[in-house]
Amino acid sequence: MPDYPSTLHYLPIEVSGQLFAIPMLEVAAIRQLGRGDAPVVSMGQEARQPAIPIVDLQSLFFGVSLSDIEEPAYVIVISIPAFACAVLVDGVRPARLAEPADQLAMPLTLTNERYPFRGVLRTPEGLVLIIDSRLLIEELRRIKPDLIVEKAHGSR
Amino acid sequence: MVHDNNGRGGARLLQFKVPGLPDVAMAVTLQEVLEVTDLSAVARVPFAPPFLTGVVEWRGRVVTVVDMADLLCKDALQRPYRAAGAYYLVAKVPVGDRLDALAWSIVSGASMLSAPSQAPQADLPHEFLPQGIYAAVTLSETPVALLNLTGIVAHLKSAAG
Repeated sequence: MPDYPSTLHYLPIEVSGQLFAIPMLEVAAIRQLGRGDAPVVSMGQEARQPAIPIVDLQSLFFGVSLSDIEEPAYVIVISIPAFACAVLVDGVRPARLAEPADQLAMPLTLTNERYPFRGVLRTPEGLVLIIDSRLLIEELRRIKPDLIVEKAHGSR
Repeated sequence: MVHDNNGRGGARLLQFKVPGLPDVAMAVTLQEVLEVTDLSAVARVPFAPPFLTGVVEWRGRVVTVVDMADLLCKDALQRPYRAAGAYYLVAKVPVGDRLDALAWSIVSGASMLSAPSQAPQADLPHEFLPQGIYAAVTLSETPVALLNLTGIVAHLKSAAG
């Protein structure tokens, strides 16, 4: 079972027509990206924040590359202790709460660190996989270490 | 040799066909069958191998759905030439020392049959994943591939990398 003891506050994101969930505790920022914007985003508004390369989640998840950013597109900065990454998604929906009864375990056949998902939510739109941010960041580091940013000590 | 879980000869099997392999009958033991049913929409799982269709909710739990033809056989019929599945077979599978469930689409016409303790070996029209099949035997004059669900799960887990 996901290691959330009770209600999960999560951000639903759209990737290639499918919804995924990011725990709100791990969402550091949401930015809208336009055509011509640089493929990096900063952690925060302060100067000297490291720039984080933006990873196209549709390409990462399903191998479908975007030839061009289609508007609207959103960048989610995902932050866990020590590391952060930024992912480009097709859409973002208002944050929601998931009750414990709607939080389901990944099947044992898919319990493998190559699948960066910590559980599944039962929602009106169907099943929604909960992204395991730690495993996602490890996967990005495995692909190319520059895709993640090591945060300064004390930063969120 | 096909045995039931008491080690006696003979077993009750569920025989079926899957989309993509219209010329091959397959079977699992009845003890392995949890349900044959309709399932709701399948959610894709990123990073999954091509034969892993996704996950679906079944009786309050999340179950992995595979394309059994693509999993077992390289020369399975490609879409869009496949017949649509009529139902899903949900089977219990061992994962380590625990039990999980696995689902796959089957075409209509599944049937139960009793296999004799000694069934003649059969030749199958395709090459199958060796660990996915216990044996191919002739039952009621039909070649039937007896699925090895333990081997299939092992292949599924190893394909994740």
